[in-house]
Amino acid sequence: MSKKLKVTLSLRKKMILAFCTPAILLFLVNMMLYFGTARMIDSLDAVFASNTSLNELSDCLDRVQSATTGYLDTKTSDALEQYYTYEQDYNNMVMTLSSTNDVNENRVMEKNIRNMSLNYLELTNQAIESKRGGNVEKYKSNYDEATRLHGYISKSINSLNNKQFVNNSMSYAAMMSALQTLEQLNLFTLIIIGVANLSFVVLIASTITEPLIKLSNSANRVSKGDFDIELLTVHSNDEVGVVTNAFNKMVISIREYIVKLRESMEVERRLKENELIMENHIKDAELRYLQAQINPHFLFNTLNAGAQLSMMEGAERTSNYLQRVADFFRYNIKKNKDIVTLKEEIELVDIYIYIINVRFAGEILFTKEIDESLLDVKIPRMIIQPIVENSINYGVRNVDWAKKIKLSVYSLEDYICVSIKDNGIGMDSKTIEEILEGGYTRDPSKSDSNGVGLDNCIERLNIFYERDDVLDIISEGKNKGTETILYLSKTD
Amino acid sequence: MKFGGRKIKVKGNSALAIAAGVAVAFMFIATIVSVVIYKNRMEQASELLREAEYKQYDSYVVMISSDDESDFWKQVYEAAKEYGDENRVYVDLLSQSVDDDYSRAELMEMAIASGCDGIFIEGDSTEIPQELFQKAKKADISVITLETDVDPADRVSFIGVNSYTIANLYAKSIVPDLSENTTVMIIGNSTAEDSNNTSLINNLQEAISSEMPGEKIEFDLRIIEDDEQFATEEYIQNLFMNNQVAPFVICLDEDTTTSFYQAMIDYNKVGQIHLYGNYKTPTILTGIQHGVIKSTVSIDAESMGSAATKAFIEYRDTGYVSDYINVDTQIIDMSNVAEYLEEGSHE
Repeated sequence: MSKKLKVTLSLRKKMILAFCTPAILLFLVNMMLYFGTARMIDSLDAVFASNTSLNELSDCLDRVQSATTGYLDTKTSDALEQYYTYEQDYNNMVMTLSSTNDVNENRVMEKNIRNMSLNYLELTNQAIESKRGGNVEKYKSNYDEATRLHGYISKSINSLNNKQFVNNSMSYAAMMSALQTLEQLNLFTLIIIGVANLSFVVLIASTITEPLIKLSNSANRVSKGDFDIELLTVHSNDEVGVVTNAFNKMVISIREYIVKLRESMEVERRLKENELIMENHIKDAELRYLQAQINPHFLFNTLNAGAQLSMMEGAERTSNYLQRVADFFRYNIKKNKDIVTLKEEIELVDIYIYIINVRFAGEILFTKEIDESLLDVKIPRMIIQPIVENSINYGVRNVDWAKKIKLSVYSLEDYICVSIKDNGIGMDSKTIEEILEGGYTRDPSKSDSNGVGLDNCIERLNIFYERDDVLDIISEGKNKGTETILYLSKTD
Repeated sequence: MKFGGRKIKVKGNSALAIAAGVAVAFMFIATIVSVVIYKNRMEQASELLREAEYKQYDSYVVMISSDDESDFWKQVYEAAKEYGDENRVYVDLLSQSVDDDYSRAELMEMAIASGCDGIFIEGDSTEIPQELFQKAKKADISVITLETDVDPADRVSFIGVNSYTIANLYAKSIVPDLSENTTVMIIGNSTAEDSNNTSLINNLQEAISSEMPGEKIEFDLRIIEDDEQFATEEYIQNLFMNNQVAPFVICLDEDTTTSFYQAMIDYNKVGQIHLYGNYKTPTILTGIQHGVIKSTVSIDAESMGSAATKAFIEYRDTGYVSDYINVDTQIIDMSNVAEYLEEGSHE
């Protein structure tokens, strides 16, 4: 059924409809059959009514005759009264007989009986009157004639009665056969209606229970954890329809909730993974450093001792140098401090440049252009120094011209940019791409770095800032220098 | 859905709903069809009890004959009735309506008491008292006599054949067979008035004598008193047993003819006796066909019946009617019996 034709009956109304319609129909049919049959039986009673009335007429005639005889015999006033009573009764009955000129044998007989009866009554009256008047001859002749007429009338009534009985019996037989047909029809109709009613109830019950069965099947599947069920179609707006709708909505909601839960679990898992990687990388950096410096504490203490000895001997520059080297190592072995300020990182770079310049006789011209207000931003430890070290080792170390390195900190839109720019040998774009994707490896034995590679820095930055575009390398080509720019987020 | 353990898959709820609707529609159709059949049957049944619409008659005439069961009087009655039906006259054979054997006088008394408008009666002054005719006259009932007449003062008209015509017909058929010095036996019954019989015999004698002048023919007249039942048959049996049968026999009515015909066969007298009958019944016609009966004089029953009704209507409407209306008579013998037999088989 299309949605337009949705049934809006409630379940209760449907059930009432389903059970009342057949009941009412069956009741109506039964009543119709009952009244029809009752009417038929009533008319059966009327079939022999004419015989009954003819019998009564005949009886009454006999009474008149015997009353006449009785009076003529006794001449008592009682007999006379009786005569008049019967005469009146008979007259009344005779008047109900047909007086029409119908061309029908029975009607003609009826009319004859009527006329003969009227003549008869006249004769009996005359006989009575003559008797009262003492006219013996006349009353006797009247009585004789009346008696003969009585015989004729009696015979005629009997004959008519017989004829009507035959006719009535035929009518009765015909009506009985009609009644039998009706009886069969009644039975047939009732069976048909009964069967149809039964089918109707079964079908209607099925239409009511079918959606419930579907709903319970779906609910069963859902209760077993299967949410991939097909949504149920709603056919009606009854209670089952409402429950089905609610069930459908519930299934959809549960599905959405599961998807959201899965997503949030995924995010959490990723976060945990990042944390682990970060920790792993720091450990890795530290390990590498420790591997490179067999015993930093020992080295650091040794260097401090060297610095004090230089002071005592008056070699102030040496003392200063050793002091810086010691500071560098101290920074490197700082424990439990993964996040530092940008300022601290830049201080480390200063220390490093001092040390390197002592080594390379002040060849490296290091300049800074720093927006002091941005220095409090937090960044992972050991990021900028490895980049500067890279610039020295792979950029300017072997060039013939003045070796320049410039460190700039400035604000650009939402970012704090840290730029390390050298005027060294530069890089081709392929190398830049490989470095940024983390696929570039150098032979560590060829350098004298502290062991923290650029790829390590990049990965830590990516994890820390949770984005991939933290670092960019720009080089215009061979011998045109390289600029490494960090894009640090202003917050955190 | 399950029907008797067999699972039937119904596609969707809408199919179920449609099926339910079909079930309801089926119920309604079944109910309506039943109601219609029921109503028709009831009407048919109550039609039986309903008063029919009858044609009306203007006059009621009672017909009384000596033997309403005989073919002749049946034919007369049918013809009178048929003519009456066409002219709104109801002709009633009263003896058929009442289950009792009444004499003609009794029937006539009944008819008068019933207030009829006319009476057709086979006249018999011996049986019917004259006062009944007077009573009828007093009650303004037109009495028309059929076949046998009564005193012309007691009736309006007489429909029949006069003895002269009948005598001539008999004479015509008997003369060719007659031989000299022979006896002709005439058998009749007492229905006919003596004067009638006498005049018939006189006329017959005259007719035969004029056909055969100078011949000496003797006539033996036998009148059967049929007061008792089976009297005719008994009388004829006695004639044969006593060997009183003449070589020429004329029977004047149907019963006598039939009985005599049968007796001739029973007593093996075929060929020895010349039988001349009266009336035409299938038996008599068969007798003629087989040569047992030489000929029969037949009064046209149909024209008698219709003439009676016609005369009644005429008298009722004008107050006048012919005193005597003659009815056609024919002689049926071997030469023309075939066509009457054929006619009879068609009826």
